[in-house]
Amino acid sequence: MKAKRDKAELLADRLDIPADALGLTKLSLCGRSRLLIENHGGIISYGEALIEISCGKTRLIVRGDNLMLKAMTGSDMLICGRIISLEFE
Amino acid sequence: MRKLYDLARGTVRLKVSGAQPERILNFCAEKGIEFWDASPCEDFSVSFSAFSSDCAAIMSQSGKNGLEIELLSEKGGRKLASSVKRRAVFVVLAVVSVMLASVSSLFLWNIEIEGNDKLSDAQILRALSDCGVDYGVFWPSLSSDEVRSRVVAEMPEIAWLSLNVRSSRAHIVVHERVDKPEIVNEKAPCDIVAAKSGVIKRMSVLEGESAAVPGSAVAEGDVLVRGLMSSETGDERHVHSMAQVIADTWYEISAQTPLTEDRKTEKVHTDTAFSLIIGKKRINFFSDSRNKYTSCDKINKLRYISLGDVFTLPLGYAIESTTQYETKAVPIDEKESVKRMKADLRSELQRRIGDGQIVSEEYSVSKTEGLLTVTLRAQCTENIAREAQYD
Repeated sequence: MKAKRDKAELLADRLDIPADALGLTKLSLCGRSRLLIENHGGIISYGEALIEISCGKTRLIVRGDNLMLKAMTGSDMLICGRIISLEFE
Repeated sequence: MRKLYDLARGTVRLKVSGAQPERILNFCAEKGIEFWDASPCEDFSVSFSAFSSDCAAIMSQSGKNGLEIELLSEKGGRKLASSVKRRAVFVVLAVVSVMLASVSSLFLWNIEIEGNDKLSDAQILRALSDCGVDYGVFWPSLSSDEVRSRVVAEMPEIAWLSLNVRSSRAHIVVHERVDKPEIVNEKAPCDIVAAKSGVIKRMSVLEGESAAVPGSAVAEGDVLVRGLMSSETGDERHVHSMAQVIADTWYEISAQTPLTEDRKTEKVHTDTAFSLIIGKKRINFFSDSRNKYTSCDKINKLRYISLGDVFTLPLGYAIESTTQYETKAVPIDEKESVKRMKADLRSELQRRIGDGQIVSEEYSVSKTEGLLTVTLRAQCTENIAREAQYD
């Protein structure tokens, strides 16, 4: 899977096309209160201070205060609240 | 708009409790079930909102994977429909009212006229009525151009008119015709006569033969410049005399006012009469509309039921309040009255002399038989030439 991901990133670089078009996760942070995640793989854990999101092989950890999942679809997710940090594991 | 859409579709608030409540959120995302405002309530529980139509699909996951789903609240949609069913009469009345208001907005119930000075509102309303613009008329059938043409043809005093209809309110803007100035025939033979009595200071004769000289005293109507001129050959010819005759004139103008005046002292009694207005009909809720009192103030208030400028209903009311008062003769403020009369006299003098100048002025004040008299004596310099046509 990792190889496939790497291939996807490599292909995006070679063809000079956006990586999210090939299914990679795209994060859009507006200030420190709104985070839009596109092409996510679902929620792993959900709390006011921490939200873990699956991004394929990696995990995205959003830390903050009063975090709230404002809206979610099969591919997109909007998180609101006071975001302190974004980590990948 | 979004709230209205949610209300119409119906929304539910659900609470998921269990070891991994986020599984339900993932389930919704996978199945394309729209949800929003997901927030963790307490340990191992999450609440979120979704549409009522998706409620059954979400609830079907209750009991699976150790998760319990609880319905917290429901708004709009089916719940609203069931509450509407229970109050069917009110809903029908509301719908009928809205329909009536919508239909009534296609008819004229209020006509406002603006810009008229010489003509009264009643005269214009009568002319408009003859042209089809009247209370209760179906306004979409009216043509502004046609109404304008007909009213202008019927009333020569009106130069131009515009009709603007907004909902059931017609706004008429009238522009009255300005009277044409009198055209002076500058070729018709005439004399120049004295418009006022005075002593001539200087004369500038442009056409005609002088009949007076500077320094001479003239009375009103005296010929100053003749239009009949003799030529060297002995013939006579008539000309249109033109001259400027500057003369000293004297004026004595008086103004009087009583030394006492009637003032309202106290309100004795107030009567209020109420009338209901339906279309053109007026239903009075009082028997006698005549004035019962000799000294009274009358205030009329007319109101139509309307929603801003959106529409006006053919329903309204009129309140007529009559307040009787008593009067008492009190002495006037003499100083203030004298000051006011002096100003009035000066403005009257200025009106009489036109472009002339006031050389000197003197005021005298006297009191006789309960009257305060102020007299202005003034010397002025002005043009006293006036054309006098031959008969």
